[in-house]
Amino acid sequence: MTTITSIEKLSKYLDKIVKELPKLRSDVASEQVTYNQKMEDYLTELRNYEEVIYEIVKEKLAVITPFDENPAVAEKYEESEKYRSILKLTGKDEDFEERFGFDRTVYEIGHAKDVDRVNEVLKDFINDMERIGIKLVSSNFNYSTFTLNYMESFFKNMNDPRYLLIMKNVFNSIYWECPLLLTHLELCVKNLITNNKKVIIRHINTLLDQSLKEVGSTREDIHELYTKTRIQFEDMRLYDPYNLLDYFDNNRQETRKFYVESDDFKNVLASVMDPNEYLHASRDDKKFILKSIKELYYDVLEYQKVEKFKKLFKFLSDIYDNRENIKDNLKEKQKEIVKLEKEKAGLDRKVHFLIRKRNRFSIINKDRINDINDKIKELEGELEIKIGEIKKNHDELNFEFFQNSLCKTFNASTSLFDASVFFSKFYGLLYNQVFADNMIEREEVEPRVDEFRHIQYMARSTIMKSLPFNDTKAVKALIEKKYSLYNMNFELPPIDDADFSKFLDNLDTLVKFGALEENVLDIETCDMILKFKDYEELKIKRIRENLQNTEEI
Amino acid sequence: MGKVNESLIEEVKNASIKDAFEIYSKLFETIKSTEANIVEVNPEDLKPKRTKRGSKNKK
Repeated sequence: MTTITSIEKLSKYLDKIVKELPKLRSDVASEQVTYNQKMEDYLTELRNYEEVIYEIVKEKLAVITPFDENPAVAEKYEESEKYRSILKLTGKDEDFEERFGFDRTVYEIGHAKDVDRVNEVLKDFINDMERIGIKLVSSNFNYSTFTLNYMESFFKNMNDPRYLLIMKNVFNSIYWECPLLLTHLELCVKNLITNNKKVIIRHINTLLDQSLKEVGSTREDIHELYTKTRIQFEDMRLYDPYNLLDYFDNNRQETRKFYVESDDFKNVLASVMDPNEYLHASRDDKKFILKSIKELYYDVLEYQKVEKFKKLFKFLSDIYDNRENIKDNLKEKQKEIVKLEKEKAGLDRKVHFLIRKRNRFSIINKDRINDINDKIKELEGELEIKIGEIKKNHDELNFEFFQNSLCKTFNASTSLFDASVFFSKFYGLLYNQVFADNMIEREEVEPRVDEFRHIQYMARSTIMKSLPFNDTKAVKALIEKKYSLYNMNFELPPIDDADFSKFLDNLDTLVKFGALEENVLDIETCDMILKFKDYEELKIKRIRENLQNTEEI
Repeated sequence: MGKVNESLIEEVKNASIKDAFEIYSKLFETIKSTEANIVEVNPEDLKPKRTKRGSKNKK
């Protein structure tokens, strides 16, 4: 046993062993045994050192290793989400459907991609209405014979665990008699919402006032409170040492980009500025550069959003430009719908009357029953046409209401942000427009619509709040110009270009670099912690293998 | 623990994290290389080989 009394001696000893390792090739087995014995002796000795030093290093690293995200980050997130849910409730009374999410309910029933979804939405709607204080029963769905039949089965089975399957069969049986069943249900639900408008608005306003009181805010201040909290959350998450370490753990190849002297770092920085300028800058200037890069990162995210949805802004802009020709026919349209609904109700009453009459005849009066059935069929055909007309008029009314509201609300300086808030209130129209603009599958439309509707909750939206909705092209030029004043010269690539993803990735790296610069952790420490983690994993693997070998013996 | 010199342990304990980790890392890597250098020996090769003359003698 060699007596090693210091780190230096141990280090030299290890160098000696490493030098001895390349064994001279020998074909004589006995020499190999002697060599192996020597290696085994070394190993026994080295493992003694390893065990002891492992514990010391482990203890030392435990002091600086973050083992979990700071709980304050999740708390801040919860807080910001609470404000967001309150923010959702704000708005004008006329936007009550959107404020409670009923605009989406109506659209989804009429356009669901499968029957299960329709039933889920219907169930949610019934539960939401109950929360508002409106207990619905099947007779409330008496819009047509078909909606009534369907909803009678629905209420009977909605608490059965197999209700989705049961309702699928019910849907199948009704569909062949009424292919427009979804339209019937859509109009039925829309009427239920409109007929209960006052109660719903009162409920939303009470809920909003209570929630505002709870958090000590007002309708005017809640947006600012949300934005402030959300930014705090985003920063806390970014600067959290555990999150940074976790990022490096999941992206081991990325760590090399965080060493200031490395070419990798210089290449990343070169995408926005001359690396030497940063490297030779004073401490304060470096801080300012990193702060500017962080701002640039969020500006570029806004640019990406504006570019992604530029066709929607163009759509709004075209309507605005044509405002002189848009007439206010809302009252006439509403009157027309009321008239059509009355005619529909009359036809419906006739059908019900004939059904009751048919039930009174016994099976012997077959001819009479056939006559009644023919009449019912004829009336149902007329009903279908009428409901189709009502639906068409509703769609037109909706679009005219949208156009008129736009013309009344918008002016030349309406911001991109306000325009997206406005459009988000018209779920159905937005959905159709996203679909028409992008020619994508229906499944892909919904996430895009959600993404657009989320713009109103983007805490960092300085550009979108400043620039007018009809000048999307200005965003790129303004960003490039602003940062050129900070000696950051770059050209923003089109968002579908691979160069854009690379540019954004580089900015993301630099933002994380900035976070690391102001952190208790540095990149060397992160690397050390992760390397030690690898050693621990190898150690555990070796222990397991040894145990397995012992068991096999 | 007893097999490792106390003054070395003390030095590692008092060293900075960086220095302590550095020596641990070197130790770990040396163990890995040493393990990898152990030669597999076929037990058959260790048995004394019978020579021609030996076999004649036996006869």
